[in-house]
Order: sequence, then C-alpha cells, then structure tokens
Amino acid sequence: MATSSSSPKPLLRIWRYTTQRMLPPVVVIFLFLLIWQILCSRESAHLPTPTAVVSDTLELILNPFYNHGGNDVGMGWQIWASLKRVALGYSLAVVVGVSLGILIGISTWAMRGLDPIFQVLRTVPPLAWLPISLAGFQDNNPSAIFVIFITAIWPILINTSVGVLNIPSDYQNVSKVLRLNHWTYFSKIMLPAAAPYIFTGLRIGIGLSWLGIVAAEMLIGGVGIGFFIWDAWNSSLISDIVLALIYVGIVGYILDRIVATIGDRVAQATSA
Amino acid sequence: MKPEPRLQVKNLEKTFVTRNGPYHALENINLEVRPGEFVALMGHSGCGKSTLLNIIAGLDTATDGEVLLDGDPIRGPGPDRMMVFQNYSLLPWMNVYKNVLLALRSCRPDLNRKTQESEARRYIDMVGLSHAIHRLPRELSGGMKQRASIARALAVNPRVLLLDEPFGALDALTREELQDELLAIWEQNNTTVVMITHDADEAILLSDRILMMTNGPAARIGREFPVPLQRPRDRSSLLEDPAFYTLRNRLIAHLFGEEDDFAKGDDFDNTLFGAEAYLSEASLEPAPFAET
Ligand SMILES: Nc1ncnc2c1ncn2[C@@H]1O[C@H](COP(=O)(O)OP(=O)(O)OP(=O)(O)O)[C@@H](O)[C@H]1O
Ligand SMILES: [Mg+2]
Repeated sequence: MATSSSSPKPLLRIWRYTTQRMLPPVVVIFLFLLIWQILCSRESAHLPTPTAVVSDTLELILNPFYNHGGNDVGMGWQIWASLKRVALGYSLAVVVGVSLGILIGISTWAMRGLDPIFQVLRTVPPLAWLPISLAGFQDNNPSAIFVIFITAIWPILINTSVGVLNIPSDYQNVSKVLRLNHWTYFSKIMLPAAAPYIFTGLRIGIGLSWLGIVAAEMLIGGVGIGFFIWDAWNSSLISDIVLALIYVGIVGYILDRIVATIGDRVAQATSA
Repeated sequence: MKPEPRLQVKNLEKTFVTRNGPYHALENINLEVRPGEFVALMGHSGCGKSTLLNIIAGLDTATDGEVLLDGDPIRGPGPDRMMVFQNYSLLPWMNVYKNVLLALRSCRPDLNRKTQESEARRYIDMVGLSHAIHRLPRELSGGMKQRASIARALAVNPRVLLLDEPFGALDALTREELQDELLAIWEQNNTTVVMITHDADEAILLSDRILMMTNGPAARIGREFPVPLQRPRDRSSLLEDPAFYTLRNRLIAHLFGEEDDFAKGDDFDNTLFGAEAYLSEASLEPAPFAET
C-alpha cells in the first residue's frame, strides 16, 4: 500500500507506522507464545509455559540489580560481569587483530609467514582454547577473556588485511606522487580506505565474542550470564534459563547493532 | 643557444611481461620539453600514451632508457612531476579543501601552516571552486572533481604537470569550459605541461607542440606538429583562424591516413576502436564554421 508522504496529520502517520511496522512482530510473538503455552500446558511437558516462566522469575525480572553476596546477584549483574569480560577480550582482539591485519596487508613477507598459521588457527572452535588457556593462566577470569580474544580476533584480522590489500591503486598512486610520509599515508589513506572492511570484521567479531563468552562461562563458573544458565540447569530452574536466554539474545542484538551502526556511518563517510 | 630542457626522455623502451609472453609497448621514445612549454601527446587508443606518462611520473619503470628532469634522472614518483589522473583520484573522505591541503602539507614543507592554508584557498579559487570548498568529492559533478584535482596538482607547484586525458570523461560543454580555464591558468602560471588527449581541437587550442605516437606494439613518437598559433589564445578567435583548420585537417589526416601506422597495428579491434574515437571526437562533430 502506498502511503502519501504529504499526510498532514501526524497522528495518522503514527497510527500508520504502528500498524505497518509494529503490528506484524507483535502478532507473530503473540502467536508464538500462544503455541508455546498450548504445547507446554500438558501434564507430561518438560518445559514451563510462558506464564509459568513469568511467575517463576518475577523476582528476577523486577529486580535485576539485587545483590545477596557471592553468586547470588541479579541478572543485570550477571550480564554486566559477562560484558566486562567481552569488553576486555574484544578490545584486545581489536587492537591486535587490526595491527596484525595491517601488517599482513602491507608486508608480503608477513603475509606468507603468518597467513598459513592463521588459516589453521581460526578454524579451532572457541571452547577448544579453554583448557589450554586454563592451563596457561591458572585462573578462570583471564582464561575466559582469552577465549573471547581468540574467538573475535580472526574475522577482524582477516577483514583488515583484505581491506588493506584492496586499497584502490588510485589512492596509492596519489600518495606516491605526493610522497606522503608513513604516518600520513596510514592515517589519511590506509585507515579510511580499509575502514569499511575493518568494520565488517568488527561486527562479526562482536557476535562471536558474545557466543564465546556464554559458552566459556558455563565451563569456568563464578559470575556471568553463562554460569547463571549452567547454575540454573543444575538447580532445575528451567524458567530462569528461559529468562536468561532472552537476556542473552537481547544483549547480543544490542551489541551487534552498536557496531553495525558505527560501521555504517564510517562506510558512508568514506565511500566515493 | 638552446635552453636546457625541463624534461627529457632518452631512448626509452618499455616491455610488459604478460601471461602471453613479453609485450613490447614502447620503442625508442625520445622527447624534450622546454620550461614553460605545453606539449600534447596524441595517438590511437592502446598505443602506450598512458604508459609513457606513468613512466615520466615514476609510477611505472622503463625497461631501458631514462627520464631526466632538469638534467637529473628521476627517481620514483614525486610532486615535481605532479599527475592529474583521468579518474580524478580525490580522496573521498576529505572535502575539496582538505584534499588540496593534504598535497600542500606534504609537498610544500617550505611554507608555514598559515601560508599552506591560504595557498589551498587560492588554488581552489583559481579553478573556480570556492563555493564548493567544503564539499566532499561525491557531492561534486565530474567537472568540479576535475577542477579540484587540477587545483591539487597546481598547488604543489610541480616542475612538470602531467595530464592524462583530463577532460575525456566530461560532457562537451564542461570540457570546453575547463579547457578555457586550463588555458588561462597556464598562461598565468607558465607551468610546463605534458597532456594526453584524444581531441585534436583540444590539443591545438592548448598546446605549443603536438606529438603523435604511432600504433602499438612498439609505439614510437611518429611525428611532431608545432602549433603556429599566437598566444594568448582564445577559442573564438581560434575558430576564425585558417591556420587552426589547416593544422586540424593535417592532424586528422595523419591519424587516419598514414599507411605505416595502420600496417603496424596488428590488433584490429584496437585500431578500429581508435578510429571510432577520432571520428566522434573530431571529424564528425558539426562543422566549427557554424559557430563563427
Ligand atoms: N600492466 C600492463 N601489463 C601488460 N600490458 C599492459 C600493461 N599496461 C598497459 N599494457 C598494454 O600496453 C599498451 C599501451 O597501454 P596504454 O594504457 O599506455 O595505452 P593508451 O595509449 O594510454 O591508451 P588509451 O588512449 O586507451 O588510454 C596496451 O596495449 C596495453 O594493453
Ligand atoms: Mg591511457
């Protein structure tokens, strides 16, 4: 249906926006919950119904930031603990990944030397790194951070190097004729030219980080949303798990949107 | 006594290594350009004009022979042989002012920051882009991009300005406008210029001398046509000058007529394409008499 953009009544426009954009997801979610409710209402069902989830976890929903000491803290704090680890591991991955990616992009020698190693290492599943990092660090928290780092670094590294390798020869010729010094070339040509590629890597990286942290925390214990899920499973609090999954999904989505939005801005600013 | 040439190309050879074996593109190229001279380089598509200009710019290397700038062999690319690229090559993430300023900052360290900034504005003004100084390249028309690119090239005060079909991608009106402006700027600045062009009128209007390259492979500088027209020039008085038409006819006759040029071109498509380009550029245009 064609909406006339010259509609003078803002109320009408809000109404149209609501019906066209908001209505479909609301309807679909409602149907989904309804089917779930029906399926899990049977006596033999192993999983709670949506209404049961809400009533079971009401305290967790209403009070995400309580602190009863130890591991007994609200969901907000659990997520916060995971986010801190992700922030550290991901930041490290960004710094090291972009640097190594640039090195591979500008040095044929470095590419020939490092590329085969990276191609093999990047296929190692994130959790396979956990035992070796536990052995190395002898501590849970740095191990989890390392797993995030090693998970997120590959797409960042590889996309950065592709971006640097693909700097249009026009810009390279300009920089040669103008005899730009290394720093100016790096900051005024290489980084802006490779930025869209780098952000593609950053976006994949943040997604993988969030996947990795939940899995790693299930194994290392302590605090964090991953451990919360594992703990809930051990205590048979299935409703808590459902709630945690919703939180994990929403936070992952927000992280992705943040990086994607920055990336879109950068790509727009640097496009020809 | 002859003044020392600004630019000298001596016995230059270029052979490309390709998948199908070596390709001898340029053979024994010799040329001299005096300080302040405007030289046009013409020849059929694919004969090696860009290759020659890139070697002069230092962006490509000769297989043999040498390029001298004021008597010294060139070493790599540099702002003393500033290039205006056909596709403008402005950095898309910088506005016009920053693009020009980047060149000044890098190539004119002798100037202090304030002077660099005022020079950037001066050259942008010279090409008539003051109103668009803070626009990004993607917000400019093709003609405006080429103006910005010319401003950037002039701003570094090169010893030789190299232009590779600078107006080839522009519509006829914009092209004429920019030709007139380049002519005026050149007459003010007295820059030494080597320009590749496909357009006989453009070559005559702007240059002191037209070098005709033969067809590849193994292209040479076939002939040289001095342009015996008074300076300062302008388009309208040129169109009334019979010498203009004499030269124009000779150029076109040369481009199509010369037996050995065509006999040498074993790449039939290439030759045909070149001929088409010239037909559309020069011969088939409405007779210029109509404009006078
Ligand atoms: N890097 C390269 N490797 C192999 N062959 C090349 C290379 N660059 C150019 N050539 C060949 O050298 C010849 C001259 O090319 P060049 O680009 O200099 O032609 P041109 O005269 O500028 O043509 P046009 O008028 O179409 O721009 C062509 O036949 C081209 O195929
Ligand atoms: Mg060319």
